[in-house]
Amino acid sequence: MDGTALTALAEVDFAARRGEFVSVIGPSGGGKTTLLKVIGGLLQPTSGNVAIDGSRPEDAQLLKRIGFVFQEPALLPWKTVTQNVRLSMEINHGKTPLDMGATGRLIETVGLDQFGDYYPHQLSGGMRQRVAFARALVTDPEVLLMDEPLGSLDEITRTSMRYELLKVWEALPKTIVLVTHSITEAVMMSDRVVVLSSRPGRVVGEISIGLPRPREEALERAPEFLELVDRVKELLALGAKRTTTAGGALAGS
Amino acid sequence: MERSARQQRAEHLPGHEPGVTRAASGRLRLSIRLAALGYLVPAAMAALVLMVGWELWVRLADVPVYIVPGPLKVLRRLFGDVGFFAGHGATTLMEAGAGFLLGSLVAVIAATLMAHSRLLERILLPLAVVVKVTPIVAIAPLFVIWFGFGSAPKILIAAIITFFPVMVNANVGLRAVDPGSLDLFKSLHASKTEILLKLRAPSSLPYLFAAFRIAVPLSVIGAVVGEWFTGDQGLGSVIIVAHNDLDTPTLFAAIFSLAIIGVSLTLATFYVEKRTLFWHNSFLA
Amino acid sequence: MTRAAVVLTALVAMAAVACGGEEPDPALDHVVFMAGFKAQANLPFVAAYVAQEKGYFETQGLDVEIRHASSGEHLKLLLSGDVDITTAAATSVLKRRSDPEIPVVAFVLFGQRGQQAYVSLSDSGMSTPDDWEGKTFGYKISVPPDYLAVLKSSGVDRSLITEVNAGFDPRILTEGRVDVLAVFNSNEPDTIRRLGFEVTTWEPEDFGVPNLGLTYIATEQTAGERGDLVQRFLKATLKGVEFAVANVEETLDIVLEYAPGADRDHQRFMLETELADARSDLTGQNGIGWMTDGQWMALYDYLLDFDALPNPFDYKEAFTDNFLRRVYDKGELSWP
Repeated sequence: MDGTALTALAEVDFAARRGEFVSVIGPSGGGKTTLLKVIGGLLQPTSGNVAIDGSRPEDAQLLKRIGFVFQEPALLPWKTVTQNVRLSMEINHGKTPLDMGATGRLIETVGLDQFGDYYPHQLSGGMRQRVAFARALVTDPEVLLMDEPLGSLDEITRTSMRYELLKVWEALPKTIVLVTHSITEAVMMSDRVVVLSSRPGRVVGEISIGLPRPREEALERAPEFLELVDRVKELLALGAKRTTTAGGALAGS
Repeated sequence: MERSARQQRAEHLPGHEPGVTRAASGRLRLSIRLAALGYLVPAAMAALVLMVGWELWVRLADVPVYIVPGPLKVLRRLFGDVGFFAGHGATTLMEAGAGFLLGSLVAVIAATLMAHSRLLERILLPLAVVVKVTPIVAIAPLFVIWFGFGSAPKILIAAIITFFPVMVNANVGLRAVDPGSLDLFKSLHASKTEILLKLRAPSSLPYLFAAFRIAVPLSVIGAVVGEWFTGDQGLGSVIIVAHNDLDTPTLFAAIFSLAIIGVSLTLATFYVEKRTLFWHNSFLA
Repeated sequence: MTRAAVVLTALVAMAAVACGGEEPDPALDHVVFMAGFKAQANLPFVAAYVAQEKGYFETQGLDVEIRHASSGEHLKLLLSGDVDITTAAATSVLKRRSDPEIPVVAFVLFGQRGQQAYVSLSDSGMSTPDDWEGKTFGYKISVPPDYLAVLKSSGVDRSLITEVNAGFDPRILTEGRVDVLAVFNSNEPDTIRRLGFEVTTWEPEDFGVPNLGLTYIATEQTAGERGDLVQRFLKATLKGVEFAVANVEETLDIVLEYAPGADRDHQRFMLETELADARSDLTGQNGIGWMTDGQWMALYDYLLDFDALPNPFDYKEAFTDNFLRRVYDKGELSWP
């Protein structure tokens, strides 16, 4: 997709409803990041199109209707937490108003209200990622695209952050597409899990997660949960075995 | 290096947990002061040892003053006429400073243009190399002819010397942005100007300062060399007149003055760098 | 010596006698001469070049190594003993002896007139130093005392002249940055003419300034302890000057061997100018290179007057005519 001969994604049919939390899971190199970037308008597909509530991704970007969170928080080290969060509002704000109050509110929402004047080098990894979240949320986007946002964190922080993220989402409902390679994470957090095959990525199947919300840690040991995890695992194994091109998505159960 | 009692106490304060340190000011100022001392004291000791050795050599080997004067003679000459050396030093400093600013400004502009156009880079970079390798001795007389006998040719020479290292580093620095941050800016539909001003420019600062560390003393040399060719002011003039008169105590006193200027400028650059780049890896280790 | 070495030496000596039937050549004395600048037709340099190429040094039993200073290091090397004899302007000799009191002594005076001159472009229409008022005068490094002396003797108001340290490049005059430039009389006037400009020159001697030119110098120690070497060196080089006077073109050939790539015409100008400056009534009577106490005293007095000497001292210690007296007999050079 970069002009190199690498085909990261084959045909993919993907849809998410407003307010839905969708996870995309698949083996490494399976095009998950590519899919996310195409949805967000950071990459152009070689064929096909993307619509976000009817608009093209580029237009949605301009109106700050899409928020991104990447695996590396990519905070600007010379700016404070507050200045970093504000960044997404300030850049190219020709078409959107600046809501200064939003910065303070979101910093509070992610639990960093004491640290507004701190610099990234003074924060732990988990805290930096929280700043990245706040930054993505400050423009109040309708869609949040996250690419393994907890991937660089240690196990303990990662687990607790999952629940914090869920709490934030429940307070500020958005359409979320989360790319992850943790099955537990996908099942625990989403309404629906989309499984991709290995490269070139195709949709192997989709699983609806009907578990009740709010979801808590104890749920991880519930039999329904574990059954869903198994089903995801099956689909993953299936996707790993597929070699040749054929049709589109397999029907999920 | 031994930590002061104050620093040790600071580490037991609440809020000093790993991963969460207290905000910048107090500890930073202390660390800058300690760092400055850490640089000055060993250097001063080394200088002292050198001077003592030098004085002993001159006396024991009976070296005539017109070959090499002993440091005591030089210091007596220097401190016996501080106004003289300070005045000329101020001239050289002014020329070097103006040249450094001019050269840096042009260099940053050139680098910014080059960062946006590979074609321009391929044109300007070889030109800059040609300028760099041209010996000052060849162009200085031309500068005197074109720009007169005052400060202008010296400022220009200092500017030319400053130009190359600053331009090269600025060029690298402007391109060396964190790809994640670049993605972020692109995802926010940032304009090229916004990317330049808000991302590339700050990212390039560590590289710029690295170049400044080189260019600052070089600009002093440039001013001095310019002063050899014309004019009556500046430590370069003092040096060439003293050389002509075989007045080695004055010659060496002028060199000492240059050394003082050089060290002061380097410390000043370091201080500015540390305050501006407090966020950079090089200061956090 | 070991017995073996004695036997060996005897064998070699006998073989030499047997082979040549002559006495072995006496060992030549090694002398290091350093010209104070790059190779060119300055008379003291030329004297040495000719003496070398014509075998005069050899006749005097000397093996002379001729070197050239590249950045004014000749004086330091003289003092450190790496160089035995070098050149210096008479003014320099007095200055150095005044401060920092270096123990050198001049033993021959090539330049009966000094090398200093001032030039302006003929187009400027200036004809006397009075015309310098309201103009810009360019000097090298520091304001020369000869210039000050000329102003005084001509009654010119110095405050009406803009004086600048103009550097070494004569184009500063041709480009109009200065109106009058201090130069070496045997060099820049010709250079500037070659750039296509006619020049007007003035020389301080014409205004009563007792300026003197180039000399050979040695340390007091060398002159005292190895005076014989100095004398033989002097003889050979004065013979070289004699030759140059009578054979300018061949002398130029020799100069160009030491300065390949130099412009022959420019070297001729230099040589002829300096040959002219080397001759006067005094030298006509006593021989080229002659110098008197009166000359040095006048130079010393004028330099002192114009603050060109940091400290007063006994000027007689700066020169010696002993060697001249021994090599000349009523104006004739004793040779060999």
